[in-house]
This record gives sequence, C-alpha cells and structure tokens, in this order.
Amino acid sequence: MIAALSTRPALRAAAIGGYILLVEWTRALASTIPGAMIPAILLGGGALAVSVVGWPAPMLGLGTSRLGLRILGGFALAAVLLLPAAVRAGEAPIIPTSFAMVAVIISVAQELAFRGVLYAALDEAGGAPLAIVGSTVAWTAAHALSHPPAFLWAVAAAGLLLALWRWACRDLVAPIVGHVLADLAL
Amino acid sequence: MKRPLLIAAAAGVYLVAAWMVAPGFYDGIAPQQPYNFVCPPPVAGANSGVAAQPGHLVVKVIDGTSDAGSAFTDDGQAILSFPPGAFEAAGKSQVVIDINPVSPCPNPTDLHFSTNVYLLTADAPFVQSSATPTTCQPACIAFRYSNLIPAPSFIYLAAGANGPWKNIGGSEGQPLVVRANTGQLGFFAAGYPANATNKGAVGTSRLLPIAVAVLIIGVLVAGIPLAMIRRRRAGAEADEGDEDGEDGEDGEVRSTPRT
Repeated sequence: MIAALSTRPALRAAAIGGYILLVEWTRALASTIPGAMIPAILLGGGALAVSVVGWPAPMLGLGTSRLGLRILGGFALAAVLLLPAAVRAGEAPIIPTSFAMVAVIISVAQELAFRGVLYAALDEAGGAPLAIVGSTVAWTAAHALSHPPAFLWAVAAAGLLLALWRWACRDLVAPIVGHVLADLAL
Repeated sequence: MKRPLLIAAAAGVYLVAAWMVAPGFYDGIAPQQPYNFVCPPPVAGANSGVAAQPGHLVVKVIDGTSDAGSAFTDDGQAILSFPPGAFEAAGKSQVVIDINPVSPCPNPTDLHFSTNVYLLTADAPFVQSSATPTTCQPACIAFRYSNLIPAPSFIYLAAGANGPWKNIGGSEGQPLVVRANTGQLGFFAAGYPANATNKGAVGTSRLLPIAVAVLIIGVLVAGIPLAMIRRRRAGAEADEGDEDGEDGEDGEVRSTPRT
C-alpha cells in the first residue's frame, strides 16, 4: 500500500484528499458539540498539519525568498477577502480574543493542507489545472458541513482565488497571510 | 500577463459571490448562525431572506392538570417550556399557546434587542405562586440568537409592544441560546441595556472597513516601490543575459504582475 502510494501520484493525491476531507468533516461535526469547538479546531488543525510531513517546503510553495512580496501579496488577498463584508455591513462580528490563536492555527493548517500538500500532490498527478480545480473542489466540500449552502459559492470562489495565486506565484505564504488576517478579522 | 489577469478575474468572481451572502464573507472561525430577523440588522444584510416563523401548541389537560410540553416557533428561535400543571386549566380540556414574531419591531431607547420580539399568548394563565419563579416553574423561555450581532445578556418581558420592558434574567445553557424563568406571558425579547459594554464573548467591530482600507493603502504604498525595484532588477538581469532569475528552486515567488 505504501509502495503504491509512493509510486502512483494519482493514488497519493486521492489518499491525501480523502484524509484532509475526513479531518475537516470530523472537525465540523465535533465543533457542534457544546464546549468542543476549540478542542476540535486545535485537534483538527494538528491533524491537517500532519499532512505536510515528508513534503519539502519548496514543493509546498514555502520559502523566504522575496518575503516582502509574499507578505504584501497576503495583505492584498486579505483585502480582497474582507472587502465585501467591509463595504456591505460597515460592521462585522469579531471573534472572541480566546479564539484568535485558534483562528491562526486553523488558517495556517488549512492552507498547508489544501494549497500546500493537496495542491502539490494533485500537481504531480495531473498538472496545474488539476491542482487548481481539485484543491478548490476539496476546499469547498470541506466547508459543506460547517456552512449554509448559500455560502459555498463564496467559499469556492475564495478557494479558486487562493489556488490561482498559489499557481501563478508558486507561493503559499501569501495565501497563509491572507487567510490568517481574514479569519482574525471575522 | 495572463496570470495576473486570471487572479484579477478570480478576485472579481469572489467579490460577487461573497457580496451575495450576508455579511459578505466566505469563511470565518465561527460560521454565521442563520437567524430569521423580522428587522435585519445591517450586518445581516438588508435582504436576509426567510421570514421569522410563528409557533402553535395545543396542550392536553387531564383531570384539570395541564400536560408538560414545549411550544416553539417553526424555526426554533423562541421556545416556551413548562412542567405539568403549569396552567390554570380547571374545567378545560386543552390549553392553546401561540408564539408570534412582532412587527413592526419595538425599538426601546434604553435597550438593544438581539432577537426578534415575540408575543406569547395562552388561553389560560399560569398557576400563580407567591414564590419567585425557579427552574422552569411555572415555565421557562429560551431564545436562540445570531452570532452576527452582540450576544444578549437578558430576556425582557413587557405587557405591550411599547413596554415598559422588565428584565427577567438570563443564562446561557448552550451556545447562542439565552433562557430565563417566567411566571407571565406577553411580549418577550432578548437583548442588553443600551449603555452596556461588550462582554467580549461575541460582538461587532466597526473597525473592519478601516482595517481593509489600511490593507489596501499598505499594499499600494509598499507595492509600487517593490514593483519598481523588481522591474529595475529584472531589467538589469536581462541586460546581463541572465534568464533564470524568476523561478528559483526553493519555492520562490514570482514577481507580480508579470507582463
């Protein structure tokens, strides 16, 4: 089984996608248990982060070169992600302070899992188009249990934007920064 | 040129998709709790959709004692629970309870309501006791609320839609639900005093537009010189005939935009 996963990129990508979805759906269901939201997020984030084991940082889009540009790109992505809420409402719910660190953890873990590991695995299996579409579909499916159906179009659009950035700039730092800032703001 | 255009197009698609759902965001640490507002607050969007639902319950009366039960609205936003014998039902075969969202929305100057105002009526009064109402004696009322707006601290009761409103207490037994004991029916809503400070559990921030504006300005202010430096450096590298400066082997970011 291990040998098959190491030699067949498509099988490896499917296994990684299945694992990530399983973690995300379990986390979403566990979060509905009273008092279990924070532990579920922390455990889920940890389980997502485990998926990066064995993947070299460059393949995930991580690196320190041109760090200023990467961070600036993250600010730009955060601005886009938050713009509709800022314009539409003028005010927005803020997360409790105790959730801030949890928000950072799950944002980073989700980016590492979806736009990092899953994207890289799909890229190996079928190239950039499959990586962009596949990671976006998985990202949207992962939110299906935790979000009302009406939100899933916005979820998918955000996933597509972040995946396109990952492809165009070969960068995961900006999606991480953008995702963290956006989750901290809302 | 193609890649920046694709990113810009994806950003446009996202802006449209996010604009179509209140409050205009894709994710968040705590997904929005759907709530059917009679008068949607700005954060919920001007057209947030489903109307608040009424509730209706017929309670059986056996040997002059009303049965236990729970009356709730069809959307589960308001719930009245009561034990056996809660109503003065002597001579009756049933007690009818109705819960209706109130419109137009009462807007007292000294209170902020986090939920709709509901009118709860029954065709029999509660059994009156000299004791202060205790746990669900003679009844308890619970309101679910949205996490889009500040959490209520108390449940308020009034005989009329225009008040005066009386604080009947409030506790949070489960997330996003506030409950209190009551010995009367009438107009109910969950909220908090207008001069209350944020408890920190759930709240709203008017800083978001400012934060987004700062992000945009920051990107523009820092991005223009960075782009100029990148362009100048790329030009110098081209002059030197070095053509592999864009994609390093350690996950280097491409310069954006790349024309």
